[in-house]
Amino acid sequence: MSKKNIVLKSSNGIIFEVEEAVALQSETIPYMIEDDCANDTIPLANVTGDILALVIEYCKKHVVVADGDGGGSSSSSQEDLKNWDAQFMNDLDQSKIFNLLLAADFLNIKTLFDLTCQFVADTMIKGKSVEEVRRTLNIEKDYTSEEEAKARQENEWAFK
Amino acid sequence: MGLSFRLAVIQLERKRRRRRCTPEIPMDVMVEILTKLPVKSLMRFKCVSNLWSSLICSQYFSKRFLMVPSRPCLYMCVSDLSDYRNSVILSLAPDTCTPSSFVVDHDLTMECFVTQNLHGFMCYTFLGKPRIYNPATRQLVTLPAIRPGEGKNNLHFCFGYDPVNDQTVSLIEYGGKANVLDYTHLGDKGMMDLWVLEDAGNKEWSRKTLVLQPSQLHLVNNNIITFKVKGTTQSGKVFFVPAVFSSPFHVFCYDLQSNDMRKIELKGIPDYRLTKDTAAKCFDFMFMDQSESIKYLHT
Repeated sequence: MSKKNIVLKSSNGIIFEVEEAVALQSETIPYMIEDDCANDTIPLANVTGDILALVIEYCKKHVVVADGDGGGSSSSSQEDLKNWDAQFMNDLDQSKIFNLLLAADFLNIKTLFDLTCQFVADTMIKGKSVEEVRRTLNIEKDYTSEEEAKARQENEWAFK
Repeated sequence: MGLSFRLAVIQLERKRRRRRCTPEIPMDVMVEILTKLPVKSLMRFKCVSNLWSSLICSQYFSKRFLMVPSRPCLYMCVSDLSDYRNSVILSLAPDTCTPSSFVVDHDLTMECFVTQNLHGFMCYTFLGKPRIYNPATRQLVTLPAIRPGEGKNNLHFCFGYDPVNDQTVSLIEYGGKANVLDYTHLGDKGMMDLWVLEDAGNKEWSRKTLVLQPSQLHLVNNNIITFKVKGTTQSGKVFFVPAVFSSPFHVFCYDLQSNDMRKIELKGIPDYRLTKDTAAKCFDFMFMDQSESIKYLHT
């Protein structure tokens, strides 16, 4: 059986040709294939080339190996995959992480979306102060000083 | 003036540059990220903004949060019958170093004895008044006393008093239905009968026999009969807890779905809680796995 390839085009015009199984980890792409002619290039207007390259790298690593004698899903390979994921995320800077998160959301790749959400939660939010979180996420402080003092007082134990 | 204008432009530029490297995260994505945080962080981040505060307190968010598996939590109430003020609630978390064990990570000293937990909340009575406590958010709500005289019965009833008193049969909730678990033959034959009330209207019960895996038989052999069943967790696990203190302290966890019996060691229970005149002490357990709640209680 010959493998079918799918051509993806990033917002800045970079072309990627990937195996169908790799692309189909996205739940959005099948709809785009249905809408267009299957042999055409699928334009991804929300994803830049550098981010799409990361998405493809992730999807290639996570593609389920269906052929062969099926020894691919042992617990050690699960463990390898987990380590690979951690390394993959650790190598990215903040801007890439946020853009990857949005791309995973747009392309609807559940495992990548969960991975990036968890990474953002663990490394950029969890142990941080209120001020740091505002800064990282560009959140406008909409509290008056009194309101903020009250909110802090009510949740005092959580600051210890 | 020129300088301050230039400064303002530089500041604006910086702001823009920051904006560019941090794309705006849509609210629905932000919700997903927040559900992955521990409750303590969430309580702190209610101070980030009004929007975050109302989001974290919202019904929608607490429902989403409940659906995300959180780490299992176990609460143990040790009540001192000779002096009520010595009663404590210990919270235990899974021991990261040794699997199949929980270690005490917090001592929530409270003068109470908890009767039940429901969806992450503890219910107990204090000085005749029902109280609801959320150990995750530390919110405590005291409800008005029910008419004196009938108070006690009523309270026990509404917190789900276990009416089946037979030592080897326990009423549990599993799969959204009422079940009776008969474990009379667990110790000798490794067998339990699960009776499920299929149709409450027609009073139809169905029976399912659960046979323990042969490799796990030694866990229960002739000793589990002294244990009592302590409710079910949301993920369908039944806990068997011992009737008396012992050291090391063990409980058994049985997964109804996967037919898996595990022995769990509880570590770090302060010695004085165990040794000092154990006869005068009475204890109870609560298991909250995947049911940590951030729901805000409105009174």
